[in-house]
Amino acid sequence: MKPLAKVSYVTLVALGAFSFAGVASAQTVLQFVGPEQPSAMEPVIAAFEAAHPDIQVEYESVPFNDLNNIIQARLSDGGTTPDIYTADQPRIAALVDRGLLADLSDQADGLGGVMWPAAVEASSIDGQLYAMPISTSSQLLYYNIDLLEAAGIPLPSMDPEGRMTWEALAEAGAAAQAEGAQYGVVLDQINRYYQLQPLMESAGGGSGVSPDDPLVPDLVNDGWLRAMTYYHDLFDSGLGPRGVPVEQTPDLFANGQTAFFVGGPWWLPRMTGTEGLRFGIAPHPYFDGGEVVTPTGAWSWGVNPNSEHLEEAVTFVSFASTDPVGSLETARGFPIPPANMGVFDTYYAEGQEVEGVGDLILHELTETARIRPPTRGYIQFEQILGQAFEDIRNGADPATALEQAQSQLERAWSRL
Amino acid sequence: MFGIRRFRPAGGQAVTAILFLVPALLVLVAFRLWPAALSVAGSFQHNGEWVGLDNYVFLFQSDTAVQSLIVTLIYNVIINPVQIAIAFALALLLVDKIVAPSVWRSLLLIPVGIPLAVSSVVWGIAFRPDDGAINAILMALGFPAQPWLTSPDQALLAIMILVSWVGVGYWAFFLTAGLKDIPSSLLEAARIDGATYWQALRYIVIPLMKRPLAFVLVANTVSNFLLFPPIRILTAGGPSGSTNLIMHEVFLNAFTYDDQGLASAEMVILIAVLLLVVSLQFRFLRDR
Amino acid sequence: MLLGGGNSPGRAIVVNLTLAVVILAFMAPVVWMVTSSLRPNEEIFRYLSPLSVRAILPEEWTLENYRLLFESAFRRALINSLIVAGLTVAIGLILNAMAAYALSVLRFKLRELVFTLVVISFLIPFEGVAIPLSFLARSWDLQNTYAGLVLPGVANGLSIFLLRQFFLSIPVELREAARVDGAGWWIIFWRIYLPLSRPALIGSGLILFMFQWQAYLWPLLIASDSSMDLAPVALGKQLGQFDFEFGQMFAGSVAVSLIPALILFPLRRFLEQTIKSTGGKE
Repeated sequence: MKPLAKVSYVTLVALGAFSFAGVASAQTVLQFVGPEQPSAMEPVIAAFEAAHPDIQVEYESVPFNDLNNIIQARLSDGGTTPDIYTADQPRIAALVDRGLLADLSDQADGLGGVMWPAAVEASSIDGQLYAMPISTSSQLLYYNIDLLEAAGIPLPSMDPEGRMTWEALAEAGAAAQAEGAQYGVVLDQINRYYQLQPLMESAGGGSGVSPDDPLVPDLVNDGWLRAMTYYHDLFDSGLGPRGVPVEQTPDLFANGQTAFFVGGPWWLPRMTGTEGLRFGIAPHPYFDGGEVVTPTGAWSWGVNPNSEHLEEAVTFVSFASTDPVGSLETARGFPIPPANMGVFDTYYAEGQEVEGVGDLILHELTETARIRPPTRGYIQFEQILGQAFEDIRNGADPATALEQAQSQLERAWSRL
Repeated sequence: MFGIRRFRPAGGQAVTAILFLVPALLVLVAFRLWPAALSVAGSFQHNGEWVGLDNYVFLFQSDTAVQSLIVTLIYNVIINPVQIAIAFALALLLVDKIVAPSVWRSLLLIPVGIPLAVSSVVWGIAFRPDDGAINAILMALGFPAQPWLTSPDQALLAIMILVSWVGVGYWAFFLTAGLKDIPSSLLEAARIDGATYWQALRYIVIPLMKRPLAFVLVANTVSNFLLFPPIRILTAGGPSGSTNLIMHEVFLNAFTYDDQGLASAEMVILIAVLLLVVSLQFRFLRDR
Repeated sequence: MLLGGGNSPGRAIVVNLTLAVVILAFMAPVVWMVTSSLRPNEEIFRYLSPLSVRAILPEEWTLENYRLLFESAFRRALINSLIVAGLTVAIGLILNAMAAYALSVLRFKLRELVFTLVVISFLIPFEGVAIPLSFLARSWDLQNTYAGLVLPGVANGLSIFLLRQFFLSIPVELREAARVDGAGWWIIFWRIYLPLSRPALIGSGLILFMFQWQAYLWPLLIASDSSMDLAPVALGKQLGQFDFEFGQMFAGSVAVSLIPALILFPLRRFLEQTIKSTGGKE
């Protein structure tokens, strides 16, 4: 850490000299803000600086929960820095609406065969590309072998054809609980839309946003009610935990207290590294008779339209996203799959934690992944739904909670 | 040093006062009052356009906003007297004949030194309904487990417990200083006259504590009205809006939704309510 | 200080015992935080239930969290926090005491109005004005500077209010005598009021210190260079997107929370001082 601090101090001084004395500097310094730890960004930045000796990238890591606040406070009055920032894909529409993302459409050529289509779709508004897709995501079903064996439950198969239904999952979870598991079923992002969208979609309720108008909510329908009743019962029956925030759910599985955990592949290193935990991986569940839908979406990197180094900033995000060397270095720092398909195999060949997981994720990304709805009201949507989910989790009646959320959302969207 | 002596003759106190006030006032205006004035102006705008009282009308028609005002008032009506009573009791203990008073006083300041985000996380874990320490203790004592933060009826109480834990040691610190200024000769005399503990407290200590109490009452009220980090971290205003303090609404609108007009209007309402409460407190403490 | 009743040893035992129980209950969450910081991350959530001594007694004791933390940017952030809080207290005490002095001792026409403004200033939620203020601060070139971090905390209405309350309790006769002796207002402030007010100055300093010690949002908005981070911000970064370093977060909080208590401890003899003992009116 110390050398890095020194480097950033030197660059700060260099930047100061450049702006105050007007001395022409050989180096352009790009400011980059994101939620990853600095170590995650080191590989791609080093590779980029080696390829572009006249450009330097200075990365600022900010707390995950404050990323959006910071971007807004720094950019919304026309601020010129940061030049580059991490954009949460479902928020891109709102960021574009506020004029906080530069149009990158001239970089879009050739993305077609290289990127997961869902990642490009999630980074575009009305066919224009506004951020370079960096990563993507999916969700897996983790199961605790010991707890399942103790309850005599057959281990689920990794084959997508043998995918469990949510109903069967609840049943198996209850059986495991009867034989000593503290929790039957735990969800990773336990009260967030990202995690729960596939339930509603699988139950036929749609994304929650009207397909005809991205600012009309559609929460009160049979599909949503079915999914939310399931979710309500999950906690009402004690199958899943109340009062445990998102940050603490993985521990419930890692500690061996939980039979089934629906979670991201980014927990694989953590789980394989936990002594005494025997676990397996199966595909994400679906509702009986419903469509198979899995979550996806992650980060894209965007450029500040008011950046003083627009061209260099675009060069960097392109390098990190599409360049064969650059995108692999980007992927190396990240615990989630790259948006770049060309890199995907290398990425999973290098760091396959569990045999066959790479293929499973590949299957899900190709066949079942569904992005979050591209609406410029996504921020309100996510916040209000998050509160509704948490209320339902804590025992509120699903139908009432959804009706309330619908009217709150209508009011909130009327402000846009 | 400031050449103040020259202004000594009668009538010169105004100039002296200005010189003494200017440095602090300059900073207060630049970093509080001016941006607040901008916010007041902003409360009549929406997306950069003047909309008159629309933001206020919107708020008073919104169940969420009205509920958050009510929650804020309930929360404050309960927590402020309770915190001050506990802090005062603690302060009385701390100035009594005790072993190593400075050590205890320092220990009581540890909670307020912990970043609020971290104490919120710690208490969130303690409040976990299934495996939290608080329920474990309750059950060990033969009481049933409670839902705490997951119940609309108890979440606000849980927040009050957390906030009090953070604050009472801090406020006791200020009250201790005030108690020490009470001349012991007065208490001595009362004791000789046969006054009980409660009589001494009621007729000597409390009347003499008016100034420090005024400070703690006002400061504590303000900090409770402006509180939001534990809400943001633990409940996001739920369950069912039961902990949605108005300051959390301000934060949500200003930072999450980037609706500066609404955030400013809510802040103006909050400051107006607070101004009313605080001026009542001033009046109350002055008249008695 | 003793209220009513006798001075029996039985009473002393009751008082001390009560205090011990209260402090113990108070310290329980802190103890849990301390022991959690001394165990490997995986262990932190393992012994929540059923409640056993294991909850506060690590299976494996380790200083790893502290080592990692103090090798990270946190060390720099802690030093920054000390610098920022220290400067704020040093500058702020003088500024606020001067203002409080004017508002309690000097007589001028708009005194009530100015005091009202001071009161309003501490009713304004800092987070509520942080966004417009961050735009202003950037136009004043305060981003990534200590000045940008220190200035918002320097003038504090509460601190002025506290000092004013204290100054009001200093007997008028003292300054009248000094006036008769020919002392100017500054001399009276510097030689009489400040030395008499040490406990209030410590309290006021504590308010100023805590404002900066707990500062989180403002530093995030104004300091983009991570070498300017303050301690709570550096700890906030421990709750990342995919890795939640609870052990390091608790270790950092232990360090951060001990510092104000440790700073105040050597100042305890000034807290014992009263107006009476420093030659005030008996």
